[in-house]
Amino acid sequence: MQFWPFWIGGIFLAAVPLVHWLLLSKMFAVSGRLSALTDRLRGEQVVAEPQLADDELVRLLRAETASEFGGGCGDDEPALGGGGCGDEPLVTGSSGGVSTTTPSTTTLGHVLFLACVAFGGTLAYWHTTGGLPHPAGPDASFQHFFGNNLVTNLGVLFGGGLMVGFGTRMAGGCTSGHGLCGVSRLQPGSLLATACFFGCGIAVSLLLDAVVRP
Amino acid sequence: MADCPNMASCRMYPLFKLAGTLKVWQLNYCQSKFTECERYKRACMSQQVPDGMLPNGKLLKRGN
Repeated sequence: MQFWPFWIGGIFLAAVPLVHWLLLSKMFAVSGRLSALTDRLRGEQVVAEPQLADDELVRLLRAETASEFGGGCGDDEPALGGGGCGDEPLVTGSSGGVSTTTPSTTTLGHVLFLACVAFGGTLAYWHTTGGLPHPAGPDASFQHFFGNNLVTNLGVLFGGGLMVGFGTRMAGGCTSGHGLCGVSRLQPGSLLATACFFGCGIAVSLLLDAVVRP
Repeated sequence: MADCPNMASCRMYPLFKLAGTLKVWQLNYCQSKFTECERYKRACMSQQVPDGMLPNGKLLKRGN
């Protein structure tokens, strides 16, 4: 199989999360979307806690602020009205309205995103090989190692997918979330996670290559 | 560090502007270390963000 030049792949890998960010103002995270989708399918969305009223949120927020930052009057003057500590008045009206809600991506949005990931992969495969993806693929090493039996190959891919899914859920992210977005922002957890899965991937790849190569 | 890009859509951010004593959340998270905000991190992972979740990850509930 003839792969694209590495630098083209690098440019695409860098461009995808960047464009994702520019269009959606969200970090690119494939496994995060998949997790969100499965959570919704499991019905976790349905049992979300009831919404708190704004005034109740503010009351609880004041108490938590005091607990978190050492309560009482801060050095900053009251932002609104003439109140001091405690019962300072809340702002009302359009400028202080609290009607906004955190937008959550719809289930359809997650499905569409994941479908497009699969479609993009298929398109790239077709562009490179002129054919559609097959469980065995045109990769000689894969066929040499696992044979050309459809059921076996599907089982291998399914098992690999399970391990990837388990690992990304356990690590809180995948190659896109940790490797692309986390590393680019120098997040310590992402640096460690990427070092682990890339290191293990390289080691296993070299090991398989040594075993397969005659 | 730049401001949090999720300010406009955050359920909690407008509350921080309601009183001077609450502005400390803005200063500590929204306008500085927003990448450490639990709400931001969840939103980035496309996870549901509870309305009552604070930037430090604590959940405001009745009876707190």
